[in-house]
Amino acid sequence: MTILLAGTVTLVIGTWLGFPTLAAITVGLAIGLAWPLRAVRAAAAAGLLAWTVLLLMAALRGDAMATLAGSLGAAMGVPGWALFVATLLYPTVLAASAAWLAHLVSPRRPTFVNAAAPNQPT
Amino acid sequence: MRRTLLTILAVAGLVGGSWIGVRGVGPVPPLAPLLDPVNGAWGAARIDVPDMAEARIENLSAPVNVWYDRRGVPHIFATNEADAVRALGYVVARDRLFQLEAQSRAAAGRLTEWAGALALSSDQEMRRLGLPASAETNMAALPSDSRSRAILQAYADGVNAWIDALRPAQWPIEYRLLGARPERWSPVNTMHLFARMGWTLAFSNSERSYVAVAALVGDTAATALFPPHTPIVEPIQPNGAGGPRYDFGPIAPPGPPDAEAKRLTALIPPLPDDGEPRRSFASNNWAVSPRRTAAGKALLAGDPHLDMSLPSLWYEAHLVVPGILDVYGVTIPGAPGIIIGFTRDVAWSFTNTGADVLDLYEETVDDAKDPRKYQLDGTWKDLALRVETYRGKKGEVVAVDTLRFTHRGPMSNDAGGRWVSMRWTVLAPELSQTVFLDAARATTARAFLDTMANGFGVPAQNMIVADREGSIAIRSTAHFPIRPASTRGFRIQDGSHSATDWQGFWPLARYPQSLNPAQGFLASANQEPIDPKAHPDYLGVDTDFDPWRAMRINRLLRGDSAVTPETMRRWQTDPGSERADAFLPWFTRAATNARALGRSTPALDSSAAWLSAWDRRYVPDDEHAVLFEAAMRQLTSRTWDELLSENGRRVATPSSAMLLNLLRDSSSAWWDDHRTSDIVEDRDAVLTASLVAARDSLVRRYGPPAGGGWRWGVVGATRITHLLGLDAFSERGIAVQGGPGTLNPSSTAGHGPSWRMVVELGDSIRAWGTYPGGQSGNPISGHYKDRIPLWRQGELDTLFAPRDTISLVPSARLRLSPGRSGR
Repeated sequence: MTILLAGTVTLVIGTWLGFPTLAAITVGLAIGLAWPLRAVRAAAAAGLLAWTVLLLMAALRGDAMATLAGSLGAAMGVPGWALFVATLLYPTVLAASAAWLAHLVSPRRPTFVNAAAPNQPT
Repeated sequence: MRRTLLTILAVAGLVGGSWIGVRGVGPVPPLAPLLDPVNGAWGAARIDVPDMAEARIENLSAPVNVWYDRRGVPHIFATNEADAVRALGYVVARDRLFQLEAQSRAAAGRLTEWAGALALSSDQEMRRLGLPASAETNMAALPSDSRSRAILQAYADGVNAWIDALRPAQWPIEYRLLGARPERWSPVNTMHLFARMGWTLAFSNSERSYVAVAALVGDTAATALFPPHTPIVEPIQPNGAGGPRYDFGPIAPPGPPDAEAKRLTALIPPLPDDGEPRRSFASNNWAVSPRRTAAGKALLAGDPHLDMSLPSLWYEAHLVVPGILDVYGVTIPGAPGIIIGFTRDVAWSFTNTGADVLDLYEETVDDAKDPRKYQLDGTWKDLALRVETYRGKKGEVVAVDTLRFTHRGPMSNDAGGRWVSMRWTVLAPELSQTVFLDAARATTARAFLDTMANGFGVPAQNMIVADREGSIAIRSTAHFPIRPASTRGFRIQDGSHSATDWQGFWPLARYPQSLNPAQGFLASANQEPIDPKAHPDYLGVDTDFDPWRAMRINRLLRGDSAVTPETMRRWQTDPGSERADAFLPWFTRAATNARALGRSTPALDSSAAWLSAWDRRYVPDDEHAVLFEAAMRQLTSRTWDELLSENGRRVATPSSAMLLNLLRDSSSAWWDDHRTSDIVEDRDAVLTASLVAARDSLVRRYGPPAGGGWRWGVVGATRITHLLGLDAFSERGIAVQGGPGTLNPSSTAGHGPSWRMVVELGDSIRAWGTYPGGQSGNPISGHYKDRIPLWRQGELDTLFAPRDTISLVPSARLRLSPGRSGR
């Protein structure tokens, strides 16, 4: 939970500062290195949570999110909800991918293999 | 295996996601700046301006208060003119930043930097016409201490103050879609903007039309079809006739192709003939003296018709500098002043004159493939060279052009190595950048026109003005070329002699003008300004513009001696059509003749009956106008089949006034349809065939006449397209009252009344207006297209122009202070 929260906060701050791609990758790499057993799930959750929080904050502020999604989606030839999905997928995919690759080289990665715990995060 | 697969997916997700996120791929813009919830496109969801905002503008000399009314109109209260212009630049950028840059890039031929090779042909057209070069030259020629330069810089200060303070989240959404970022505004951008307006309104094409037509049907027929004067005379300047005069006469039949014209067609190929839509591209204005108005006050109405777009071409604003300036109206984003509007003393509006201000010269050059010199009066003169580089999104070179200029202007060539140069007033506009601000200080109609004449060179405009003392006036204002007596403006000239050059411009006294005419009203609707019998000089009025709207408004004005503002408003969308009145009887008469001769068919009879039942009014619920319009297209197409080029497209279309003239001759050779080699058609055969073909095509497309598919409001609906052509940000299927040839000639092609205004001038000013769009350029703002419903119904908003902030209840406020702008 701590790692999840730390990843989420870091990603929110990184996005706020204008480095969304870098922040997502950094969070993914950090989680993958520091917590290889649950890396992908935690990184993906941090990515999803961080941008969900940011979207919710904008909506609570009164921004016309749905209207924008509808218009922008139509302009791009996709339904409005797809824009929300794409927005949430973006940090999720980046963070999860980075976490997977990082966990492969993590010094904290378990070195044994058995049938009950396959050597990848679950 | 699974582990390897997941690793491959992770690499793909990381590399691919980062790549698309940061750089985009193909048409997909970079996703990170688009989807970022804080700094990305989602920022555009923050739609409306805050109730209270403060900002700093560099070089501002004193604080400026901007109060927005409920319609989103900024009322700018400044202590001096330059500060008012700075504030105008700021508020326009705040509402219309993307439009500002898009228009200026289009004018400067720099759209490839946004869209790559897709925009190359558009950019090349601008640059090869010499428009960007001219803007840069004219900017460089402005003295550093000139008022024009100071005003352009002030406007740039305001725009850049907004840009510099922008966070990425505030970038207009279009930048996200293009993967671009806002560029700082340069004063030369205003020059580009005006050059493009010149291209839109004053790119006369008479030489090309003449050559293309003469190459098909000979010189005599070409001259007859495209005469220098319109055959229906209802001039802007009153001629005392009390109605239109029909200068009709025989039209020379098609003859053998003209060899010289054929030689020239490759050098100056005709531009695409868009037929009817172009004729809808037109404006109206009129003014009424106090003695013909119900309230005894002068009235003025104006509705310039242009390409309609979202955001709208116009932006409404009110500038107040106590004791100096108090002007309300519409500006074009990028223009440092109010273009059309009113003050406490005068109101004004423009229509396009369409004068011939462009001539072509065939040049003799030293090297057909790579000329460096051209011949003039027996000596070789150096060509000025200019290399144009078109760059792509990442700064890469997309294409390179070398432009060549004679003393007349830019040259173009054909594949055979022949060269033609162009002299065009738009390229040397001598336009004062402060002319609109200066004119807004005028207190009388005459003073307004004189100020405009001193600073306005292009594009030629019929400027109508009324003042609170009750004067009304109109003057066609621009630089009208004086040509040598031996030359005609619509023939290509021999460039090897300076004797064919222009000899100057008309003096002001010769401009078509009228002040307080005896008839008590003035009106222009792009018709010929002067009666050629009274004033035979060649002005080269664009014969594309038919006289129907002028006939209509003059008829309405003659018939009402107690005009009210409400009448003026209603006339702006009057559905009556002089064109339908003129042509419809010819169709029904031809059907009657066919019946008498036993040549009728059920289809012809029912079509004629359907047409006869029409009241000739283009109202949205009408189901008859659509048949008339289809029949007119068929008639035009079948009549002028001799003007089809080898590719099957008509090279030019004579005016419908000329077609009406031709209808008087039942057996003219023009009626014969060349596609039917065994029959020689006459007029009635073409009219009846057109009517039946029109009905058939409509039934195929919209079903039977009474089935509801023929409603004018559906078939004739207009559209207003977003600047990038994005459907989601456009408005389509707008049912309007009016059609081709009416005072509200909105077309399916998206031309129409871009601003409507009515002003009553007396002790106090009352004004009404609207335009098809809204103040905001943000597609999801409530002010993006909030005015369209009112505009569609032909209604107007009351325009509120308070003298001070005390009498205004603002919906939002903005305080601008001197200081360095930025985040």
